[in-house]
Amino acid sequence: MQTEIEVRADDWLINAGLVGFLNIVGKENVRIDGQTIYFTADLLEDFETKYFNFFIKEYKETLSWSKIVSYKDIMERFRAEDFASFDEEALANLNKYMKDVVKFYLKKSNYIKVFSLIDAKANVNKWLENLNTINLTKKQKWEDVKADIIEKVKQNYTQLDAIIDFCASDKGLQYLAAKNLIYSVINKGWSGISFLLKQTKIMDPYLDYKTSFVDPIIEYLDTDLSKAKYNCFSCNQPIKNLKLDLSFMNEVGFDTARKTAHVWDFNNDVATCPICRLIYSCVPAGFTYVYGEGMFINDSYGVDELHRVNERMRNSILRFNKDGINSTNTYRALVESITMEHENNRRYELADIQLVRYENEHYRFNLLSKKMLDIVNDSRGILKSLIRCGYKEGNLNINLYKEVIQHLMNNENLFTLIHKLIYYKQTNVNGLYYNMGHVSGILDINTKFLKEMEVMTNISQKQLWFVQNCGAEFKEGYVTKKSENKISGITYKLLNSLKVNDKDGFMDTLLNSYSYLAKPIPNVFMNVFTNDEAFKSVGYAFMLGVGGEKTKKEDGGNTDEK
Amino acid sequence: MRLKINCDFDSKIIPKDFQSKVVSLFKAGITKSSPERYEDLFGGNKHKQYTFSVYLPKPRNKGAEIHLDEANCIINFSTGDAETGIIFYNALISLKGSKVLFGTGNHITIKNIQIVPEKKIIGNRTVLRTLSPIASRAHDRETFKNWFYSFEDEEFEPTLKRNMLPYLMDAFGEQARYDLEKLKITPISMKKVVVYCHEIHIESSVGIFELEAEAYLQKYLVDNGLGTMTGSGFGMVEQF
Ligand SMILES: [Zn+2]
Repeated sequence: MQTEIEVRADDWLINAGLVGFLNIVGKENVRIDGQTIYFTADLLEDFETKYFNFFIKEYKETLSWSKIVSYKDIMERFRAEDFASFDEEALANLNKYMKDVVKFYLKKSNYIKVFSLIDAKANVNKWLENLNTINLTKKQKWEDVKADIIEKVKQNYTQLDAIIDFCASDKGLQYLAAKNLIYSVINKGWSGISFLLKQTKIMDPYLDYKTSFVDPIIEYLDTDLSKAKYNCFSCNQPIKNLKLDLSFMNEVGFDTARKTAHVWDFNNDVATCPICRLIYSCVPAGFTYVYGEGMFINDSYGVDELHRVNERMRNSILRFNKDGINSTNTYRALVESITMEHENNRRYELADIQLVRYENEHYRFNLLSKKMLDIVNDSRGILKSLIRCGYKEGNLNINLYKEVIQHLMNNENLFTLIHKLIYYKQTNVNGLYYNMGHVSGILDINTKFLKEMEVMTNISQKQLWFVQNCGAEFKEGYVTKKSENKISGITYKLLNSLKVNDKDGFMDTLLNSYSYLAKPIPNVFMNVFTNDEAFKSVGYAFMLGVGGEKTKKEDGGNTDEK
Repeated sequence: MRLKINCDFDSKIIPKDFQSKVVSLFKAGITKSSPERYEDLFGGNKHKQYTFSVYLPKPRNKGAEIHLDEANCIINFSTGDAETGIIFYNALISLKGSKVLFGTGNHITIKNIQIVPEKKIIGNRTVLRTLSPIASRAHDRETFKNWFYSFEDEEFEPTLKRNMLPYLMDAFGEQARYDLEKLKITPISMKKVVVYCHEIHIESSVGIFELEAEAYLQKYLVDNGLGTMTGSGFGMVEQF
């Protein structure tokens, strides 16, 4: 029997690699025992194909390869009906497809490099040259020239058949997709060596991977290490030299070539064995990437759970992608997968979970505390209502769901967000996709957050709702007095006081206004003097009431729902 | 936070000790609107972080009574503490329109409450005018006797500072001790008055004077009253 290779879970980076490795080889093909996985060397046979196949399976639909081959269906449809419904729109689409998809992608040098590997005899360039845009002059009437044009379409179709068959072949998929994935997914995890080395001598990325990562393991396993002087930085197994380091991993601080001072004085000691190196190369398969942003949940309880929670997140992300709501998806998937885990599993009461995000080419870390998970869990309904809500800031679309989750993950209260949302509504900024009800929901979440942080214990949720109601009555008071025009000035002053935490200023304005209405100030305002959070919570609750939509409806229609 | 409270009387005759009656009016209102705060505000002998003054239409002293030209008055109220401000505002508005006993068979009725805009304090000198007399009180711990000084007495300013030290320290910490030492009062047009309050005659000072002090101290004293017994209607000032 072959000796087993052992890899232990440890820090987030090796853990992401481990999850990626399990995704690639299949969990059922390794033995998992707590924090460790065991496998035999035969699992590494043809590992390079398994490696790429995993990425192809996961990301196939997002690849430019799919854009090329999926056109075949349209072609078949027109052929089947002998172009009866082929119209000007269909022609425009064909032209666009030829120019923006086929020629655009297949003229990229990355793809050209692997053409000979797919089919050495194929002359892709000639096919591309034979693709001709079909133009219709303004004077020509469609019916008059249709027959002529269909002929030209058929000629193009012939070329496209060759091109699509070429791409859709097993080898076409294998190489074109791999090339695509190298630069859209794999390079999020590592770069600068093997097929991601710009000057690589090896055309075939599969072979390149095998040479860089798999072969050294086989060699290593055959080496007598009894006299080895060094140890692997990651698994502590003996290694003969310090050739393999971690500088190929993106942004993790082991860039020995550029940042020499990172690991104390002995940065050369940061070398790994070939097995760990292979595991590290699987990091991109451990993360789930959507729109260039990656996520990994580092639950260090055990390899099995580690894999499961990430798989669940991946599945949620893919499901939500089908729903077509995009930039929030990763967060929504994250929240749903961990809250589900949270419900099913009491062990989350014991430890915090580490979330690793890859955003804008940097890793960001958050500890998802039990408290944060509780808040999210308790606020599922409100959160759900925020999925399609957002606002525009310059050219940026800010999604409220994502914004709220990010704040909570960073242990930040939501006052600045609440402030902004009320302020934008009050000043009728364009591009707002929420109503005051949503802001009120965010205030509720914030109240829970403050309670969890134990900073605000003397104001209850009920009192805040009461204050919101006071705000609405306050506004009604002004409406009754036919002084609605004063509200925006008052709102402006009150919001400013809240922003700079000026309790006296806030109360002054409030006192002035209430005395104008000849009404008492709600007693709940007395409680706000105890701390800043209580003050802000009560203040914003009041503003939500004042900014409520009640009177707008009376004006004829609620303008806030879009 | 300054309130101007317009009130009507049933008759033109009010008791000489009218400040105490105004305090009773406050107490009646707070009992009604925020009873849970009553103890906090009036129980014990701590410094009151507010002050008030009463403007009477041509008052003439007649023994234990004061005779007025018209049956009304204006109570000015000031505090630098927002919470206190709300409590008093709510207390007074809860009494609005109802008759409250004021002594000598008279009743007082609050007609309306207005908010008075405050002026900013700029620089470290201001000319101020008293709206109610300033009290400077020396307390003898052994005999429990009080001795009041007017601005004419040499002891006026040092005693006044001793009166203010504990509560300013309370509000601002050790820095206040240092800044209070530098505080200076220069009379411009002052006179000595004797006020009957809480069944004793109190020697005190009214008029116009210049206050030299750090801006934060000035603000605190303008907001909450200057000197001692501010909660009994002493020490209210305004910028001239
Ligand atoms: Zn190792």
